[in-house]
Amino acid sequence: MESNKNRTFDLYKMLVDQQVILAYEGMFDQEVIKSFLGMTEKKLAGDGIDEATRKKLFNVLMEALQNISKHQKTNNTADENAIFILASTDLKYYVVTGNYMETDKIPIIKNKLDLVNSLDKEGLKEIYKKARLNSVISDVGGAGLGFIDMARKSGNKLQYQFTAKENNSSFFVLMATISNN
Amino acid sequence: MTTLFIEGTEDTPEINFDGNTLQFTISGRSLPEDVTSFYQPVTSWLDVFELNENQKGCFHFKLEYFNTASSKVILDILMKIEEIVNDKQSNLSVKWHHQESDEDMLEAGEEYKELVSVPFEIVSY
Repeated sequence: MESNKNRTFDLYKMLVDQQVILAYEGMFDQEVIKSFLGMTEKKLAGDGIDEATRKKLFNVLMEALQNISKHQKTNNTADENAIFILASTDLKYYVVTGNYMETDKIPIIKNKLDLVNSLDKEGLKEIYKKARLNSVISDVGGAGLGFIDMARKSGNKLQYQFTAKENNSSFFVLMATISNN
Repeated sequence: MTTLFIEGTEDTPEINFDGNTLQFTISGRSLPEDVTSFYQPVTSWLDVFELNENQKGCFHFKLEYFNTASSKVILDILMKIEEIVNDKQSNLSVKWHHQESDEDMLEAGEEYKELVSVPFEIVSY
């Protein structure tokens, strides 16, 4: 439990200069996601950010949160909970998620992220259209388009990190950045 | 023609397929946890859809947000509409509505428009 708190604290430190709007550690399901989206909307309504940025942020949040809820390890102990942080500076919003995953699945995830990060706006558009045509809704209800969509809507590269833990388990941190125009 | 109505919620859209006016509208937010089961009544309804020769109908998409899984299902729905137009000679069109400032929703409409060969109009509100 103690080490878990430390890991969360490390992420806070990473964002030490930024203003944390929301932070959560625990299991993610649709009810939790809906309440985050609702809270974020209320918070942003008073922030005076423009409509287009607000929508982009909402979209990225939605994908990031549903991504965790579909891919978090479900047989986890409290030590393997997922986390979510929404933070901001004057110029940017940061959507950070962290969850445990099986270490041997890292190459698949990493390849997807590297591909997405290698493409520009037009490239992302093309790959999204192609992937959507070929996609089949998975057992957990995903279309396999989450990373591409997050990159498109955020307009920035996706940052990520994998940290190996014991027993084929790794902690995966993903950060999307939305510029506040 | 039967009417299909499903009330909208904070994470699922309102479905209002009106068999009398022949205006079929999906509006609001589409981010259900399980898109397949949410949209199942819609696809079943479309499976038996047919218009008479003198009838003319329109499908409206007026969405505020949709997640990537819904994006796939919307494409499936549009392809079903295209199939109905081609196979059953039904007179159908599509109107994609987007908020004036919402460029992503406009772009989404343009991308769908390229993929299906049905009369497809993009309108802002």
